[in-house]
Amino acid sequence: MNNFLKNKHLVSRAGFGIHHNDIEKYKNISPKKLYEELKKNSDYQPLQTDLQAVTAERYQEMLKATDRKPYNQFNKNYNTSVRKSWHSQMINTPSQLREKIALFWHGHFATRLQQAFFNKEIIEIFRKNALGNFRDLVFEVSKSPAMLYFLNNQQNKKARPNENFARELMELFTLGRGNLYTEKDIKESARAFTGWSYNHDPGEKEFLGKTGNFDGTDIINIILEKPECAHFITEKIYKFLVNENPDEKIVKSLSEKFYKSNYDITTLMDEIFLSDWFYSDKNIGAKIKSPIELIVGIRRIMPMDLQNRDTIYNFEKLLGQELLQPPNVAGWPSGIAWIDSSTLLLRMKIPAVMAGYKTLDIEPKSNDDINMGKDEKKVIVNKKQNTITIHWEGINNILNEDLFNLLLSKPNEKLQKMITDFNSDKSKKHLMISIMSTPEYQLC
Amino acid sequence: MIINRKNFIRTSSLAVASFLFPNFLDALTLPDAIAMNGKTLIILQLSGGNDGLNTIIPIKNDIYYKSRNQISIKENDALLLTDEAGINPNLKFFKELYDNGELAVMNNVGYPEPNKSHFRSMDIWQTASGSNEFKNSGWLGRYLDEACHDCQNPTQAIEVDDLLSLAMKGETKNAIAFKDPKKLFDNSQEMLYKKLNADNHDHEHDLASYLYNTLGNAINNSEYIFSESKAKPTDKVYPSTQIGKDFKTISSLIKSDINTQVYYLSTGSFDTHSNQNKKQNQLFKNINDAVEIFTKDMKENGKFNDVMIMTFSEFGRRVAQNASNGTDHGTANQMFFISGGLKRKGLLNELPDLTKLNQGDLIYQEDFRKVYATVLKRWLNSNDQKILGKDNGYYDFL
Repeated sequence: MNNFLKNKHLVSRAGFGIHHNDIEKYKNISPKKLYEELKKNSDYQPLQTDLQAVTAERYQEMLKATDRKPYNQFNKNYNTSVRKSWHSQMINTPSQLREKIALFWHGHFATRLQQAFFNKEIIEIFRKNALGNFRDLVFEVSKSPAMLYFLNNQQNKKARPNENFARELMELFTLGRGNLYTEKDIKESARAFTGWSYNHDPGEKEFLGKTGNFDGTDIINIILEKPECAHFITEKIYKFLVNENPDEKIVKSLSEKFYKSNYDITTLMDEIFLSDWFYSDKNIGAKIKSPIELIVGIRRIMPMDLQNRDTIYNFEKLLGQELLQPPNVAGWPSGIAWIDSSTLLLRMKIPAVMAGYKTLDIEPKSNDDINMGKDEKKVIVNKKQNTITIHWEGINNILNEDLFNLLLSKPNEKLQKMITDFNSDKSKKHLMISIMSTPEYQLC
Repeated sequence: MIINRKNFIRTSSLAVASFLFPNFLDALTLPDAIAMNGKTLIILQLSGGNDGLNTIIPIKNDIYYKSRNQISIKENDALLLTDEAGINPNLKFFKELYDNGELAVMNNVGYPEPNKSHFRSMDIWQTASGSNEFKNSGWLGRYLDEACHDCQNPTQAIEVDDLLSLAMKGETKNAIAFKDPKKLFDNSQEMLYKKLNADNHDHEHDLASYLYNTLGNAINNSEYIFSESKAKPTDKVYPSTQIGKDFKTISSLIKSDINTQVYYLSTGSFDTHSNQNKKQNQLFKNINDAVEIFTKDMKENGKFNDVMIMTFSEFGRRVAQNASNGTDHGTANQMFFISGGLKRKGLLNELPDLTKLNQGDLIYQEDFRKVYATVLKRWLNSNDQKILGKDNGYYDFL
């Protein structure tokens, strides 16, 4: 396999796919050098929102007002603004590795809230710590208003908030369901987390075989002392970045290195992306792109103007993934869970809709948490409404590339022949859209 | 190239279609893992959290009237079911069903530690999970896994919508969603898709095979569904509302020979935080009119004993109204069962106890998973314990 295909594989996992300006570069650079470059360019910049945030005082005022409309409206608009800003980072920034791993953490420490300030704050925690230390990340998330609010209020278990947090902490965030801990550990650690809010329970607690007057910090530290925690996180990252079917030997070796590094995420990234096995045949084209990977990837390779910028988020929503709105605290499902006949046909249609070859008229599922009783608006794209204009003139150069090599993770001759014949009397633009309308294009 | 639709339809008689798609004939000879018993289930989802207390009204309950100064339904307006219960006047056909013994109502259905987020509570209902569990498959999707584990085309379950609900996604099979059989057909019959499908064999990766099988199923099923939908179209005039159109689509499919056992549709939004009655009345009227025609249609075709409509909503609403003449998110709610084939009819249990509330919310009495178990076992003839993961017991209305 040549460097170009290897580089494309790298950037489809360590980022959101190849950018139309990077094609020449990818032909010449080695994957190792490219990875070092990705790492070097992945510095952190806070998101710039196009909507001015209101002051905290004003936000509180709106929250307490009898008329909740201004509060709801602000949340909705500001959430959209945050979503836009992050989305545009994913498309445009050289900081691909950071944004990709931040998206992983967003699905790992998943919250689904309307409170826009909380959302912005937790997204910044993911972006800032994406390549830092997992320990810092756990502590920051555990103390973030978004997570506390989500688990206590949204989940509606005011009676036993700390128990709920303790359960999710171990089951979803650090150890995995039923791994090492018991119901008793949950109850005991819940007593320890009282120290982080009010009515601290100062008594002695027994947790994962240790006894002491623990508080929340102690509990998290005790969990992180367990190599099982490193294993749980490593396996999940491996599934996200490498292959849905983990190679247990590799995961074990990675997790030992991750543990020894004291949970340094960049160390784990180095071990994955500088390895030879990452580029082995069985790992290439072995993942179904998530809706965000698909749509952001298309926008990186095919620059376009949108009459209505929401159209693009609507595509992702229709396909089942909306930034700031994971389904629940367990995050998005992955792999074949993205695919049913409706979503597959829609995925295959979207490139042609973007090119103006087809129109779209589809009704999203209702979202009453956001719409407050109003009906969901249809997603319509045609020559008059929400038109999308592809900048073909800006990518003339790529139309003369081997488009199969450029767009597919594993170009194969049979498909190539069929698609080429199918487009024999049509333009290169049509050829490009056809390739993007295949089942193979759903893979990376 | 965009296919010439008119030409294609003209030439796509069944024979031509089966010639074009080798898999197509298989779709017509489905081996059924679960012996089909000819029963059809229609799930009607009331999205947004329907206010159950203004649906089945406790007409003798002072707490109800005191808690809802502006929005309560007066005893004289409600249509009487029993001495204590009336039904919302906009559901007047439901009263007729009740009088005929074709309606059963289970009051106060819910689950422990209820969640008040629309999305989350809907997921709990759709996946049949507990409040602390997160499942990636739905209860009807898992039914489909069972019902269709060695059949090729999962047309046993159909959702009348553009997109598929989690309820209809299984571990291995997914139901099919479409608003209109014609639109489904047009969407899937692109020449490119068909060429891709025709070339579909020997994929290196399981994932590619999965994608190609999904594509192949979409193409074959859409053809099958479209032709079935035209076989014996209903001649009844349905309301032109969305729910009217949806029931019309279902009626035509039921009358055909299609193997579908489960239909899923939803209507709303019932999220009535302000000016509730106007909104709820209109939604009820639309439901009432659609169900009325549909019931007559089924009766005239001798199908009503084998068809059952079941309604649910992600939660009910708080007992007390709010300051905007609406209600906020609550907990337990009633479910309706409409069929000529019910074993028990009428109100199946007591109205909710308004003297025993949890911070202003109803305390559920009946678990929705026991309702699902009853429907799966006694209506769909399937292994409810396997599908729901545990023994939930059964009710005797089926």
